Amino acid sequence: MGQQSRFLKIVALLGFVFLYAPIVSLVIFSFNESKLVTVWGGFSTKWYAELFRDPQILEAAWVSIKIALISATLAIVIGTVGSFVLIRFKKFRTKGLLSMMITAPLVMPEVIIGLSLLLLFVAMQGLIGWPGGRGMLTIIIAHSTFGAAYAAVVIQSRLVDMDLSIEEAAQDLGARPVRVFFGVTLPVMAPALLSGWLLVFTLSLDDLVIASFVSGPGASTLPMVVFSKVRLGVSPDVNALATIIIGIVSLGIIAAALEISRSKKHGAER
Amino acid sequence: MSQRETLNGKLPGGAFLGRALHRIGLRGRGLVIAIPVLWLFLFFLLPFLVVAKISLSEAAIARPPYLPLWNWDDGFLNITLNFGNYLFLFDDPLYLSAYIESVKIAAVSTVITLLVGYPMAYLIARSAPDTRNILLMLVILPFWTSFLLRVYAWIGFLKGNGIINNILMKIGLINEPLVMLQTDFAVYIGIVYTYLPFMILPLFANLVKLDQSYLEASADLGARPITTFFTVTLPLSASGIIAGCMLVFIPAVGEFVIPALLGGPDTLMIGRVLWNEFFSNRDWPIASAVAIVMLVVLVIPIMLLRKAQAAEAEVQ
Amino acid sequence: MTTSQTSTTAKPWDAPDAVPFMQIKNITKKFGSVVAVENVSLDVYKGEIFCLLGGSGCGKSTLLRMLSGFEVPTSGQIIIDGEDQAGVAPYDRQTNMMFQSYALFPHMTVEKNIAYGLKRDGLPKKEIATRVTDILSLVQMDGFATRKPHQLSGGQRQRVALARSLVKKPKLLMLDEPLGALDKKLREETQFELIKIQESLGVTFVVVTHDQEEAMTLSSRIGVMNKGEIVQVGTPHEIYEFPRNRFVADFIGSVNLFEGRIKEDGENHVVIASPEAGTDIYVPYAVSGVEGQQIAIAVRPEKMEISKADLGDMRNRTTGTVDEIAYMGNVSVYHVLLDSGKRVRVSQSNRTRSNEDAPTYGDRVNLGWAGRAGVVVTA
Repeated sequence: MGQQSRFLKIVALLGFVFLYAPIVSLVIFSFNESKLVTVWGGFSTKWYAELFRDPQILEAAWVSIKIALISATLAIVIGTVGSFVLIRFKKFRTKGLLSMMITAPLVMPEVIIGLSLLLLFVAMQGLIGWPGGRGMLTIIIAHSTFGAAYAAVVIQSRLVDMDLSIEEAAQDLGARPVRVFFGVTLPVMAPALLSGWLLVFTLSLDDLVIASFVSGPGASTLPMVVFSKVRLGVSPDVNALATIIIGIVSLGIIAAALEISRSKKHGAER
Repeated sequence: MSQRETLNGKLPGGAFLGRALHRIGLRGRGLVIAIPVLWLFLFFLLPFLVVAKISLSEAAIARPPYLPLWNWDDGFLNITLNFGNYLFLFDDPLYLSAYIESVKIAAVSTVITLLVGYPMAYLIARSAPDTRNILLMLVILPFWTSFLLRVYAWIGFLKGNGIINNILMKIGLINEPLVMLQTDFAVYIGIVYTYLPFMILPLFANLVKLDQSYLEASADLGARPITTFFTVTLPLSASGIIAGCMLVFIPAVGEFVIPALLGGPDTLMIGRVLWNEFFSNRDWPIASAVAIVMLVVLVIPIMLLRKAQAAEAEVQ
Repeated sequence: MTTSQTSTTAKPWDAPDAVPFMQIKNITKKFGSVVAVENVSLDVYKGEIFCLLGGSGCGKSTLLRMLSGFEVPTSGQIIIDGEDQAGVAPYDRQTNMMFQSYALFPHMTVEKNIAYGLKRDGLPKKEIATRVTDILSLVQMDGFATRKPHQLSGGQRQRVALARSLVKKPKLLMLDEPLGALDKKLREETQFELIKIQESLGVTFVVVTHDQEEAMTLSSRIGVMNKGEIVQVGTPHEIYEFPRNRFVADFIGSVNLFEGRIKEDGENHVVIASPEAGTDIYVPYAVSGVEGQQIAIAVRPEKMEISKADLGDMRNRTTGTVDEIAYMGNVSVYHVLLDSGKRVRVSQSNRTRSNEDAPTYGDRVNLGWAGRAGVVVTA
């Protein structure tokens, strides 16, 4: 037994090293004086300064954030309505279709989603003159569509776990279905909505392939700019960018963990 | 009923909106259903039909760069279905070997990911709840940071004057730097690295439900830990294993970024071929045909995944 | 005393002119081909605590959900206070329900939870506040108004759930396993409190439970359900002492059933030949049956005597061997193997701390019971 668990611990430890070593090295070498990403040349923050002087990166970051904000919000709306309809509504004609369409984007290779949406946009442009060129709008549509699938996974699992009698109790006390949804179902699901939103936001911010297909000349997202930089080789300002992103994510996770333990304590004290 | 209405009317603000909404809610069940159905039909299902259509048309130097499938000619409806794109895919060894290569790379990476992920998932599922949450968070955390940048980090690790070669040369294990970047090896590393959380999470979800008393019962009946593992734990986690494997395999087949950044010029993966057909050659019909065939290749894995997930849901 | 709606007669169901407050008429509910509730008719009177008692899957919860409007009956009619409930949505019904899981809204305080239903009726803020305060003190939860459900114990949640469902002064309050989630000790205390609250408000209760003890203490009347049907309706006393059929006799408490045939069908008595009991059983009242008819007689364990000595004064007697003894503190339960092979349970209360004459394992014993101790069950 002891031997078995030691073996497990070693494998797990190696696994975690494997997961984290590249991330740690990204952070370390972002403070490297030398241009060579892998040889330590002394501490410096010059790559951060360079990053913030690069208008292309700043512009792309802003575009990406705008797209992610809107896409995450849209995806949550579609994902929530879709999940609710699938789990709480009795049989309807398009139920099977909806269930298929809402889970399929999860298992669809990105290149296919990107290509198919682009071809749709081109065809629609030819037929009805909409969406009027490609750019932020088309990226937002694409991201909200596959984001809705991820949001639906998170929301559905919460909806299934949620005690149905809570909603019935609200009805029993005189609330009509729409009020039950907005007054009881949504607030109870709020944590799931938030984590779904964050998930889609991150995925949108991170997506290279789909955005490359559906974007137009005007709109380059952050991953698109980074990809074109990285293709030419390693560059330390990308490390600086990565460190900033890792910093934000870590802060967010720590804040969430603190909030959870605080509210737990709060509950226990009373 | 009428009394309820008048009482509601006396309330300021929100009540009117609420009333308007439940008017819709009561009559517009169909409307609510229509929101997600229409959106997904328009932006998910319809695009596939367009891809299928374009895969049957002929490439042309035009905007858009393909010829229409049908046209009116002197009162005749001419429909031209061009199966040439598909024939071309099977004619040119490039495409066939790219499909085979993709499936091979994805399959090997999936097995490696399983071998690394299973012990990790098992350990996490068996830890005390507090430790378990921390470990689980550690698995998920990389997923929240940029995928592109994490793949990029491996360039620094694997290249000729990269971290691994530097360390190995310093301790004198090798004299010449190993060529790791731009090889299939680098692609395997990249896929295992990127998709490890996708393997661990479904495995964990399965293993954490495994009742400890099954293992104790097996030990009590005389099975050694190893026997218990192969006769009890492994069979019970089968659906978790299938789900995890398919969650790695399916996206890996169509992967573009990892072979583009870590693979060599001869690492032919189908996602990359599609990308090149589309962006470099601007041959939309061929790119569409490549996509359709890729979907066909993935039908069985996708069905396996759905079955495994349904089995998992049943256990819950 | 014109109708029972304005008065609380001691036993309105026995009064010939009483009008039931709630009527269930020939209700049937099918889920696909599965019949969950079959042709149930039931009258409940104002001020009653009526218990639907049955094992899991007997249809009692489905019946309750039809009363509250969450399930639509396949056929039949439900009338509450003279109004047909067909087509009335749950949110328009003037009944309320206390859910088995309590279903307190986790994102609202105790106060907000209780006020929820009143707000839906559009009551003025002031009145809502007073009614919330009043009901909180009725369920003895005064200091807890601003807590969230997760900060309450199981017993406290139960009280809040009760308060929330009572505060709208429903015509009918339905309680789904109201005490099921509480531990035994707390359950016993709460039972009596529930009765007190019900009496002080005069609201009619319909309780669903699988716990016969709970049903016995709480209810004015019990409806025993089996396989979607109501098999007997009566006061706890009637249900226990005069079970109408083998199912009820066996389901409520424990019972010894002796199968037999009518041997002698007298004017004011019957004699039942029961090889199983090893004797002819005398019953001192008439039974509607014919000679030779298959019949059973049910005798509760506590109504039988057991002794090594002769029980000559008992009307019905038989003999057997003590097979097992379960000492429960207040009573001892003997399992006696009759010569026919039939096992019989007899309980004797332990009036002294030790009894030298008490039968022990393997003893030959005499069993006896009075003529009126047994009840004949035909169905």
